[in-house]
Amino acid sequence: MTCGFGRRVPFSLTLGFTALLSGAASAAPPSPAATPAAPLPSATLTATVQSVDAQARTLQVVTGVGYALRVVKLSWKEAPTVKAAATGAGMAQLKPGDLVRIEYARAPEGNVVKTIEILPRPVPQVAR
Amino acid sequence: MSRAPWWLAVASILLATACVKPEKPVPPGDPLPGLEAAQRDRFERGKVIFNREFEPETGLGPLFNAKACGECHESPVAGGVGDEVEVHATAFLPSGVCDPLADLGGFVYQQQVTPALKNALGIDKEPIPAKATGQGRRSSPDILGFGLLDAVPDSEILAYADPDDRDHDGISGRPNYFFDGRLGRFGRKALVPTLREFNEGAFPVEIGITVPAVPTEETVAGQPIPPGVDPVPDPELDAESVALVNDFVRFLAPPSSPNLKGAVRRGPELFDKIGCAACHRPRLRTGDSDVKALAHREVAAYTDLLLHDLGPALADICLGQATPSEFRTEPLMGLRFSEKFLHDGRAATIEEAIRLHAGEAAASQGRFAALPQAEREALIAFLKQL
Repeated sequence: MTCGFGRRVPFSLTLGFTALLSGAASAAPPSPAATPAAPLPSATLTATVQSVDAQARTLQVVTGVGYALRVVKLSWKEAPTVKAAATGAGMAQLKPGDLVRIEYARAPEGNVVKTIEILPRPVPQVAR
Repeated sequence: MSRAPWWLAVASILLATACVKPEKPVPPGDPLPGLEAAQRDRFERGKVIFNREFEPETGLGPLFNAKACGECHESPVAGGVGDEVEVHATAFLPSGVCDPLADLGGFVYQQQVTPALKNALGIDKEPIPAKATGQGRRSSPDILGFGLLDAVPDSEILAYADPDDRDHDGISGRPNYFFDGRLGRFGRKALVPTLREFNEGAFPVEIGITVPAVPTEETVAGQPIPPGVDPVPDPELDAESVALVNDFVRFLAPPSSPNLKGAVRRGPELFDKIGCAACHRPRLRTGDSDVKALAHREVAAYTDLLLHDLGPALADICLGQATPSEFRTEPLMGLRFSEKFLHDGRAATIEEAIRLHAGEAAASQGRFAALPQAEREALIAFLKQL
């Protein structure tokens, strides 16, 4: 999808973020008939880590639209896959300010992390 | 390769010169020349919503800075400057990471509340959390020509970046990035990647109007809005209305070119000579656009849309990758409309604003101060025409 001016925003990012803001991520519990077997809807999000609590297994990331910033709360049950340039990466390696791409499930109890990729910060090219 | 006769070259230059039409000045607030009829129609319809004054019954607040876009961008026309000043606050952590205080209502702290919120919480404005390490005041700039800034390709902005000052000219230029890693360009700290997002985010943040892209209200320093205070269902403004406002803003023509007569003619040369143009780049070029009037145009922006360190005296908040003392080079197009200067309006005159430039701009500021008075006056007269 474009931003209207030719530059592109990943569709999944826009969709995922809008869904989060609209409350879809914490939607009403699924109907009893669908509970055990139905796969949880999942989404992806690219954001900046605000805080990590490894003991409580919770994570807050910052995203938003323009100056309207929003915090998205996530948790993890089993250790999620952490992809990073450094080997041996784990959730303990995450720190505030990290740029991350998160795949998460929208569970009845909230957003549950499936995988996290720690992205390198963009480095500008020097052209002069 | 055979050489063309000299007279042919001269004739070509004369012909080309004769064919250049003088630029027809566009009055402030008018749409870009070359828009299609349907685009001009959207411009006019968007302008109506831009100037629409919201009330609590139509979604205003409960926290807000203004009742309408046009309340802050009003002089001399819709899209111009305003005398409103808003407050931003963030926390610059010892680790060097900037916390925008998003979980505590940040980073924009609204200066007004609706009567219902005042009754519920007894506050006149959003309180700034104790965790904030810096506060910044932000004046309302003009936004004429911002559609052209939006259409400048990232590659052009990044081409001017020199974060480690490898060319040793004392000017670095660092890009800022949004929280999802995209290059930023809008806002005094160059946080926001696109004009559309800046406009969409401004509705909830500045007016308290939820929109489809941001369907939740701001919190009160992190606390949810008390029940019953804001009964209007979200989103409070539909997608088409937001799109119309966005089209109004992006189709606003830039200010007309300065009238270089008399001593003012030396202005551009002096501007370049003392080094202002190293950051306030006179020309940027747009790239592809779905709007022909925005595509592949030169815009007299007088900015590089990058962050530069302006020294400790101006430092206020961090934001994204921007440290407290780093600010995006202010676009000088439209400077003629300003009555107060710098990001917070602290300077009463252009001379004072120049004098307050430090950090990377210290050398240029020094060269300005060393100019003969007549040249200083010529440069200021030129700046007043931008």
